Amino acid sequence: MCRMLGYIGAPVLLEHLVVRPDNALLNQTTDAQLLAMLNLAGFGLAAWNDDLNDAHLPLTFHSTNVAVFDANLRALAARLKVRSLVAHLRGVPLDGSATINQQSLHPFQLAGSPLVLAHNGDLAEFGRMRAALWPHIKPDVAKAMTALTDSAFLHALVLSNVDDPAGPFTAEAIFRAITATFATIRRVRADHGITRSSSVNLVVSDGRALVATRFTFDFGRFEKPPFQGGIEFLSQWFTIGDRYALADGEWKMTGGRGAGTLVASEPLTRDVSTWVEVPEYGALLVDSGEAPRRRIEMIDC
Amino acid sequence: MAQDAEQALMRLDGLSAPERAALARLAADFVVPAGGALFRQHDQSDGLYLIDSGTVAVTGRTPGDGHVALAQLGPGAMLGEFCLLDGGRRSADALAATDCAGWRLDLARFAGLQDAGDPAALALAAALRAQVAARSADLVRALSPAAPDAAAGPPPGAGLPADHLAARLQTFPGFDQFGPADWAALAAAGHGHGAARGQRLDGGAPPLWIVLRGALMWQAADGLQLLVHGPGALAGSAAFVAGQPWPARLLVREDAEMFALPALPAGATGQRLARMLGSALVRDQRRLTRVRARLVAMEAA
Repeated sequence: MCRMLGYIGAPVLLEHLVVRPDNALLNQTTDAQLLAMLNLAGFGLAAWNDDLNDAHLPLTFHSTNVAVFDANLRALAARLKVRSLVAHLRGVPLDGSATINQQSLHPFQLAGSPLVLAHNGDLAEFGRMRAALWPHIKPDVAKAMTALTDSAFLHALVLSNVDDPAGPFTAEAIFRAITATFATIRRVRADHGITRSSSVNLVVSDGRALVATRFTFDFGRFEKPPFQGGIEFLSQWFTIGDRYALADGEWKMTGGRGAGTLVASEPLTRDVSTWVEVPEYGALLVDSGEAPRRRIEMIDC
Repeated sequence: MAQDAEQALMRLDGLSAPERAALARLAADFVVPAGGALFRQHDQSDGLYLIDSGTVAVTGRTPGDGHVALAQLGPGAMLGEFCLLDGGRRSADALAATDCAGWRLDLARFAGLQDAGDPAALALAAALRAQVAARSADLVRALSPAAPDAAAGPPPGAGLPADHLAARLQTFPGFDQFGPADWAALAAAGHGHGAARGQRLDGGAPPLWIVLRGALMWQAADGLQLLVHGPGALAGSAAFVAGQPWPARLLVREDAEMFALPALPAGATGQRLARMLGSALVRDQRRLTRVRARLVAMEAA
C-alpha cells in the first residue's frame, strides 16, 4: 500500500502540498491516518510548471530515501511552485519481498510522454499474470519500460491504450485507456483463476487532464485477511476550490467556483470536513483550463 | 427553563419514565449566546444536546469551504446523537442562531453506564439507533426521490457452524471481542447465504446482514451508488433497525458469503452486536452525508 496525491489548479508552492499540512504527504511516511502501515520505500513526484523548459513534460524527482527525512526533497519543495502535480509515497510489505530501487518508484513516466501514473494497491499474484500481459503492451512502450512491477505494467498498459503516448490528452481519453487496461487485467485474472481482492487506485495525469480511480478487483474476496487493501476499500478523497492555501489556521481549498482540484489517498489535513470521497468503483475526471470540467464516472468491468 | 431534561427526553420513543429520570440525572445545563457554537464539525464529541429554548442552525462544510444548511432546530429538539453511538468526531457545525439553552448528556458518563449494562443507557442507545435509522432513510429519499422497484427478497439460507463464523470474522473490529459463547449465540440466531454478483437481497422483512466475504452495495432507484459493504461489515443496519425496507436496492456487488440475523440474539452477544450496530448506523450516515456533499460540490462547480 502507498499514499499519493494529484493536483491541478492555480500555482502552489510544493511544500504547501507535501510538507506543511498536518497530514501532508511526507507525514504519511510514518503516520498515515487511514492506512495502518509505514511507507518507507521511497518518494516520487511529477510536477508541471509553465516556466519549465518543455513545459508540457513534467519535472520528475525520485528518491529511495525515507521521504520524511529527505532534505533534498524538502529544499526543492520550499522553492518550486507547481500548477500540476502527481506525488507518491511508496509503501511495501516489511518482509523483504519487494525490490527497493529508483526504477520502481512512482509516478511512472516513459521518455517523451507527459502521461504519468501513480498507483495505490497491488495486483494479487502478479507474477502469474505478467507473461500474459506482455502481448497487450505496445512494442515501443515495452522497449522503454525500466521496471517489472505491477504498477509499472499498469502504466505501460494505459500508455498502450492511448492513441499517442506523446499526447495531448483529455480526461475522457485517459479514462478510456484505464478502463481498457482494467478489462485486460480482468480477463487475465479470469484466465489464471485469480480472484483475490486487488486494489488499483490510480492517479493518472499529463498535467492538463487528470483521472483518479478508486477501484478494486473482487473486493472482499480472500481466504485469510491479507492486508488492509483486501479488507477495506482503499480510500481516494478529493476537494475542489479556486485556491489551496492556509486560511483560518487550516490548509484547505477555498472559493466555490472551483478551478482547482486536489485528490489524495487520504485528506492532507486531519480535519476532513472539506474533503469528499471518490465513490468505490468510480473515478474522478478533471480537465483543467479556464473553465475546468469535472465529473464522476463509474467503472464497469 | 420551560421544562426539564426528563421532559425533553419524552421526544424519544421507547424510554420508560424511570429510564428518563435516570438519564436526566446525567444532564447538565448549557447556555450558548447567539452566534456561538455548540460544536463544530470535526470537534471531539462531548455529549448529546437537548434544546430547551432558542434556535440552532446545523450546517455541513463542503469542498471549496462552502456550507450547506442541514437543519434549523428549536425547543424540544436534540442534536449530536451520533456521539453516543460511536463516540466519533462531530459531523456538522451547530451554531446558535439565537440565544440557546438546554441540557447536555455527557458522553463519558453515558458510556460508563452503557458499558455497565445500565438499562436506561441501553434504552437510550436503542432509541437513538431508531432515530438515526429514520434520518438515514430520509437522506436517501432526498438524494434520490424515486422509490425502488419491489424485490422478492433473498432465497432461504442455511445454518452455519460457529467455528466457520469465527474463522471468517474474528479478525474484524468488534468481532475481535467475541468469545466462544458469542460465536455459538450468533450461529444459533441466523443463517448463512451465498450469492452471486448482481443478485438482489432486499425485499421482505429486512435482516441484519453480516458480510463474511465479497461485497454488497446499496443503490438508489436512479442508479446512484450509496454504500458499499465489505467483509466484517454490518449491512442493512438502518432497514433492520426500522423493521422496514430502506428506499434503495441491496445488491451483491462481488460474489459474496453473508450471514443474516432476523433479530439480535439475547444476552451479552446481543448487546455487543447492538453497540456495533450503533456504530454501523453512524458510519453509514456519515458516508451518505459525504455522498450528498460530493453531489453538492460537483453541481456547484
